[in-house]
Amino acid sequence: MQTYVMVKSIVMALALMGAFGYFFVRAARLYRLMRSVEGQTDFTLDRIGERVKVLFTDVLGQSNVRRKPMIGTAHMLIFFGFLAIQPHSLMLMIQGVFPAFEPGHAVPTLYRVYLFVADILAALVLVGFAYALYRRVVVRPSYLTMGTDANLIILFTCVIVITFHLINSFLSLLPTAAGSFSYAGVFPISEKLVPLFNLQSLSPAGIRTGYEINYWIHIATILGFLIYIPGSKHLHLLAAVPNVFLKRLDRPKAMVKSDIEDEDAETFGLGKVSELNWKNVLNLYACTECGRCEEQCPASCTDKPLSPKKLVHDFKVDLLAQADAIMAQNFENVEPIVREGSAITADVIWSCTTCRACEDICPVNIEQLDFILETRKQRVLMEADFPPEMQETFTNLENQFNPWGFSNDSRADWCKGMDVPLITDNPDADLLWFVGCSGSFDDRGKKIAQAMARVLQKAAVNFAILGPEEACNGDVARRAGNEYIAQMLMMQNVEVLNQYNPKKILTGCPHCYNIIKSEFPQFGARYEVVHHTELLLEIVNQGRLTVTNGSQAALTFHDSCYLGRWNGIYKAPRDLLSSISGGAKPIEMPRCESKGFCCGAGGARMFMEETIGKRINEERAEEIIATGAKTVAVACPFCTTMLRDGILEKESDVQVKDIVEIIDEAI
Amino acid sequence: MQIYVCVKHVPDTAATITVVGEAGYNDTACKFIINPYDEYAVEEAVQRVEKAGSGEVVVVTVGPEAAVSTMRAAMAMGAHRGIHVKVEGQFLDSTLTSLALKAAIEQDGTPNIIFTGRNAVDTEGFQTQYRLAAAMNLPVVSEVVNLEINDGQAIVQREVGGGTRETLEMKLPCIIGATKGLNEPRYPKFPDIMKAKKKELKEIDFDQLGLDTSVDQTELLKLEAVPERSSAQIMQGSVREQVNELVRILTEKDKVL
Repeated sequence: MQTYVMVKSIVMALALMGAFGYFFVRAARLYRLMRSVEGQTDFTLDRIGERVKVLFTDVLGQSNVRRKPMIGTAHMLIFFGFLAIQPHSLMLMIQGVFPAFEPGHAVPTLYRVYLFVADILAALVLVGFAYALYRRVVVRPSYLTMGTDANLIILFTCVIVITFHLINSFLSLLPTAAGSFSYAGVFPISEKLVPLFNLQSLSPAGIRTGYEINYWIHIATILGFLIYIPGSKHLHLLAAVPNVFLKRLDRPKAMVKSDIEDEDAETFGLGKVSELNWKNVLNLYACTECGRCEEQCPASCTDKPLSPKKLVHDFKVDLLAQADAIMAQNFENVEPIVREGSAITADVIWSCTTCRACEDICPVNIEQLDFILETRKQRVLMEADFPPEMQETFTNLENQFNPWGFSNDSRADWCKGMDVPLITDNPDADLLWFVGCSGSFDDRGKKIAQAMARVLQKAAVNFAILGPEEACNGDVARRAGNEYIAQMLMMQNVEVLNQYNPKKILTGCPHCYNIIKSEFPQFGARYEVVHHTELLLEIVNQGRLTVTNGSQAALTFHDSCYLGRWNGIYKAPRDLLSSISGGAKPIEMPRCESKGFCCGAGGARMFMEETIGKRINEERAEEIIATGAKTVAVACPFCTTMLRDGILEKESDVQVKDIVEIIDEAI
Repeated sequence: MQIYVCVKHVPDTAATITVVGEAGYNDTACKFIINPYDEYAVEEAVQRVEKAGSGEVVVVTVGPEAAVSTMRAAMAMGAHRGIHVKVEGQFLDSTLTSLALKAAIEQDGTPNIIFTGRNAVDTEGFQTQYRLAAAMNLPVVSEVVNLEINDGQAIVQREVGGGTRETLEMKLPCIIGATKGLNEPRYPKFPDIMKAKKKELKEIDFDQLGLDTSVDQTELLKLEAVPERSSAQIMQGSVREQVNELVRILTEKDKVL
């Protein structure tokens, strides 16, 4: 016995040193890799108080994980149970090396309470895993990666938890020396196993043997797991918490401004994994391939080659494969991201509508769009490699400041005879209305703009437009990777805006809204921006418009990504619709608000062919038609066009109307 | 291979140009671009030199001061340098233009091929390549959609209508008028746009060329805006009323029946 204890001490000491040593070497290498990439981020560690709060809500509260209630709860059970058994396992490890170690001696009551709680939480891990297994074996959601990686972790953890309980069962039976800590009556669950397996009938030697066997299996599995983590998707266990702690705290975000005037810059955008920044790398480490992004992604849902989950995985694989060159700062030897045989193809990069559903749903706050948009930027600026139909769009934007190539001087022609003042004629206007390209040139968009003008005039709003001084806001060019034209357009607009210094800017297009609000400040224009749904709600609430002809016909509302997920405006359009339909709420589609399904136009997809898979607008049209609504209310001219086309394709007579058109008819 | 490409600085066809007075116009708010047909010419020239691995593409422009932006656009596509013959105003007789091009090219070097576009979208003259060929005593084919060069021979194809193409052979040096179909003009990479800003651009005043301006045979008499297209008229009422109204308009107003 004495010999066994000695051998156990030595073996344990060696095993612990070996496993922890290996783990730390692997983890340190990953950390070094994260610090070796050459990309820059303007991230600053600020608002610590808020971040600490995030640890409580998002990590301990599991708020994001629980957005999927069933598997979220299962994750929470596993998470807390797994955390709870760690001190116990640590105690066992120390005891293995120093048999006299016994925390029960120092703080008996606290230790007893801890063991009681941990014993219950550990059992709940098995409940969580039972659901996880049911999901993997029976439900098999398509967005889930079915691989040995995931199965191994379930096996590992189940073995750890089961042996935890058996160890405790045997512990409660082991004889206690007088005056030392007694484990009898401490474990509410594990002690139930004693009569279940008839363990009390074992001889004292049998009990000791049972304990030792479970001890070794338990420790060996934990150490094996420790070695396994850094090389697997379960790196998530290490990276998720820091990634969440360092997450973007505000919903609105801007695309990266590249310093295109820097003559020494060798490249722009993201061409190689070495050009990632440390925050991107932490994002990659944090992903556990839960697939929620893929489930929400309009490209994935319509059989396009993009899956945000796979994209993150592929970036991670590429990064790890080229880690040696990166850590040696041998950047010229790093292979480009889009290359022969690479998983990240042009079709992957260009399938994205930038709807941000992936980022919104990600429980660990990965920002998938940063990878996609920066790669697009590199493809366009450095390689002139983009969908061929975009060439004309780029040329139109460059020459006529609108994507269709209409003469920019005719920008105010949509309001001929409507008595809409230009800012030059009404410099003191309360509101500068940035009409946008769709409202100015597109036949459908012009009707929306005209309705808007009538409503503003009826509400006696003192407004003005820029007319030919307005140019495309740059959203299409920027999200299509053409930072050069985007910056040209943004600077042109900024110069005009700063000349008039408007009190407030109104937009009817969420893309105008978003870029003026979040990206124009990069170029020196900071103005309060309001979307027409917000403005009209205020006007209606103030009683400045009287609804005389409110429709009771069933309505549904389609969330525009750039209004909703990019800027968090979900309530204003709904309240506005209720206020003009006698308080009746719009019928909600299954995918609404933060899970709203894109129309397919974002990220400059409006101007690209959609040849792969099902058309996104048709997928959404089917969802609209299924609500039984007679009208779908929209708050974006691009959504209007896409949904109208989709609904026509489905041969339905559901009307597609901008909210402002509905108001225009109702007053 | 030494290739010269004649490029014109033209107003974007989408631009609105306001006529001022009899033959004047206001182009201050109007965007000028590289003549779209000249882009096929530049692309072809750049591809030839890229394929050969040696040679030079020189852009030659006869145009106003502002034409530099067009020349830079051609250089961003890959032309190596430019020669700018500066003139006042947008309109220059095509005889004089071709003589200026000839003088600028001959001052500079010996061309193996000269590319032009089939026409410029502002004056729509379709003249320059032929007048240049006559002045330089070189063979010329315009509206070229396919080009092969073998042993000092250029084998060109051009559309002759109805989907039929004719194939012609010319000895180099020669002049080729490029058109849509010859290639897909590239979208320049951003670093190439930046590099183009620093490429060599030689400026020559038109007067310095010492050309005989008495050969000018064209005079701009009048500019007139295209009348705005009237919008469609939609008949109201029953089908019978609508048909009656239509017949009345066609007989009384438009007098076509």
